Amino acid sequence: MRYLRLYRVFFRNCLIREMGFRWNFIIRFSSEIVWLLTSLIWYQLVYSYVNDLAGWTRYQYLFLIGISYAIQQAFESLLFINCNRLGELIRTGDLDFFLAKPVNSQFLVSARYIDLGGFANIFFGIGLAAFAWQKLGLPVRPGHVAMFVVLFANGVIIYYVVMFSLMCLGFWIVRNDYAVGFFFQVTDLARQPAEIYNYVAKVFLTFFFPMVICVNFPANVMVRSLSMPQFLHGVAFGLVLLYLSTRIWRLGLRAYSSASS
Amino acid sequence: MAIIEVKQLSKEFRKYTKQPGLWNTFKGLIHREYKTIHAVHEISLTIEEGELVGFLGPNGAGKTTTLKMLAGLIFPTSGSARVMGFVPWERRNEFRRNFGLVMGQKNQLWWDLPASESLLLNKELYGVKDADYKAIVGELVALLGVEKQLGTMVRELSLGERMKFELIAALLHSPRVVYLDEPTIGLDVVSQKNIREFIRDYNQRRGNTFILTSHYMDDISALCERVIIINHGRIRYDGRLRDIVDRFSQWKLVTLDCREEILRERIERFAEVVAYSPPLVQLRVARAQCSSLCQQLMDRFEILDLTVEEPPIEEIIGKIFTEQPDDTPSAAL
Amino acid sequence: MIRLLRPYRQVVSIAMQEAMIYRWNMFLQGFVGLIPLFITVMLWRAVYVARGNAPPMAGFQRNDMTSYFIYIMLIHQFSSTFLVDYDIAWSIRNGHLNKYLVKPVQFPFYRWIYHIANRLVFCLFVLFPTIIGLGLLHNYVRLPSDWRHAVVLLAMLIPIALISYLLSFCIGMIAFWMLEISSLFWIFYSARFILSGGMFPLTLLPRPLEVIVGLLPFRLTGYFPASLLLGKLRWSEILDGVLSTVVWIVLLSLLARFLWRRGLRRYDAAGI
Repeated sequence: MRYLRLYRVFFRNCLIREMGFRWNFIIRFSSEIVWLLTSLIWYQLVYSYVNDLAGWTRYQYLFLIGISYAIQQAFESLLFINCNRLGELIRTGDLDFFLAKPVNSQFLVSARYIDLGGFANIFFGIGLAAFAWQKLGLPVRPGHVAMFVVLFANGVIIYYVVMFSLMCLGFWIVRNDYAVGFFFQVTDLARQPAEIYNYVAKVFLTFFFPMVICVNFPANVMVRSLSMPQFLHGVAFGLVLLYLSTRIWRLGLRAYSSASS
Repeated sequence: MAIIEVKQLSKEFRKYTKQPGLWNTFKGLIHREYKTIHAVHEISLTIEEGELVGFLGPNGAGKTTTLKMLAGLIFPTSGSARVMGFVPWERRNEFRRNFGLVMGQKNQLWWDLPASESLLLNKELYGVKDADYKAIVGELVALLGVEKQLGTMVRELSLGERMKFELIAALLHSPRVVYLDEPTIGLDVVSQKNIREFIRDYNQRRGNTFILTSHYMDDISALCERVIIINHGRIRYDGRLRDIVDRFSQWKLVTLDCREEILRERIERFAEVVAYSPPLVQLRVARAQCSSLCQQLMDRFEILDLTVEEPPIEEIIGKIFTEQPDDTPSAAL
Repeated sequence: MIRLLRPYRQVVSIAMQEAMIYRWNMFLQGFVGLIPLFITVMLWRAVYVARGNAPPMAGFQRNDMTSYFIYIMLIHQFSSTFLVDYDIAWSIRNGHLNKYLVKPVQFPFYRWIYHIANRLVFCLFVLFPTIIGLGLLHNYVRLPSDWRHAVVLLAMLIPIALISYLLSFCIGMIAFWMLEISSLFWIFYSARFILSGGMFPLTLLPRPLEVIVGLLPFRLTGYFPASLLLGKLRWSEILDGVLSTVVWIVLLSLLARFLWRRGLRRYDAAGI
């Protein structure tokens, strides 16, 4: 498929470019790892004082950390760095270059660059989760693994839609510098076990601003339990939000073309 | 004592060399090759107070690096320099209070604030007294015609207006020495002219010293009596602009406006024809033979008008620019 | 002394004006900054629920713990130098530093004044969201019991901010030696976050670690002032903290000066 081939070219270009900055590659890689380490430090400290946090045992929680890290890295390395540039593209008018290409513009804008340091980190997250999984000694159930994969991708997609929509605000508001900071706080909400929240927050985060779906659902399906209605609820949300993002993009483009001189 | 004295100033940089291709990029992760670049090589010059000197040179020639050293921004590898008696890179406050820097490609004004705020900041930083400040800025603003823009946000100013405020900001503390790095870059013709005239005027009235670097020949020819051509880190020429022509060019251009159409072959017997579109003919004539040849032509042919010109100065300077590092600077055309 | 500071009057004015441009951003940031606090409070509430009737960790009751983080947040609002290191490094890398080098100012001091002025405006604009947040979390707050502690804290605010600035300044100096440094800042930021007690009170660490971390200046920007307000420190410990602050200010100033001078020798004044 054409888009896959295009993607391969993006990947190769980024690989060459990354290698050009020798230290940069190593540093980017390690800075994200440091972030994982800080989560692990917290984890180690808390579980030295308790045996279970909000219904999550130590290895279940560790699994959650691994998965949340992997999803975050997947999103960051594949999509975030591109969304980040959107504001600038709009402001400088460079978006025109993307619009002039005979390729779906949303795809181009969202998938143009890949951050390889982050990409490698996905495997660290998966590795950590696998380690925790193995400690739990649970049987491998193919159905659940399939659901997990779907929910993993679903989580990345929801992250994407939130970030992308925030960046699309740049079509209408010139200064949306704080969108990135806001987004990271919001993903923080997603990374926590849902059970820690009070009732109001939990409902809000599951049904209105569905951050709980992103990380909790895939983790639950593998190491705790997730009902079928919940699974469908999660996937439905992902698809609906993805569709919404295309509509927001269209709206934004219309505003963009009518504004530029 | 000259206001600027430079002796054998040199600056070397280490740059790593990158080979193209994926395999070489991988190799580059482990082992890096370095190359030493002699950006400035044993430059010596003297500038007297009140001069308006132009630094000319192609990109990468070393003129900006030299200027940076004289501004105290970077340390030299070897050699010495004194500006107003100070060593620039010691960055004494006394030194910095007496010199100004304008960078055409960078601005020192605060982008989101009115221009007047940036000027006030400089006033405070340089310790300009209130009365002096009012007088000087008032005068400069009037000369450059930007009174109405004092309260405008810098980001909303046009390029020309911004440049004018940059100049004001750099001059309001009445510096004895001013470096102008590409001050008219990107400006429209009218603004360029305005700024040139302003600088020339200022230099003549105030008698402070200017060093100007520019890619625009018009800037240099309008403002500088003396030019220093720097290429490959060395001084290629240091002297009067006018003299470049005399020294480096050994021919002149003669343009004839003839009444009758003269066959090309006939004229070619006298001199090399550069352009032939009757009734105009342009000839390239050796300098020494110029006047006698003109006489001959006037005798032979019916010539309505005859003009003698120097070759365009850009051409001469361009030739100096394209010399190889080991050429002697006095290579004639 | 006054004469020395006169030029900086305008610096303060400009810094404040510049900050005002971002007032909506700051306002928003005030609210968004409540999210991590909210998460922290929720998490620790869950921890205390999980511990049930077990004795409180390091003597921190549940409301002590949540108050601790609230105090940390409040102190950070004033003293945080987030992104200052990045900004300084950026100025070095793209030659913006030049416009300061040619003027008769000392850039490190200038940047400090600029930062404080900026910060004051920030505090002003996050005041309202902060009050809202504190109102919502009032069940989890325990106010300082001893007014003298609050007085000491107020006196320490500027020194704490100065330590934070000096640390950021020294980190920013890296730009003189390394090219691509943006990611390095994340590492430093994370380290400072943990070592200052932003993730958990440092007394929760096993004793040997606690001693080592106690030797570093980071605790002075978070754990020390927060514990002070909570009344968890004996007067001898408070005195120790104050003296350490002074000592570290001196040490860090020397380090900053050293790095600044050495760095300038390597400076290539890019992009004149």
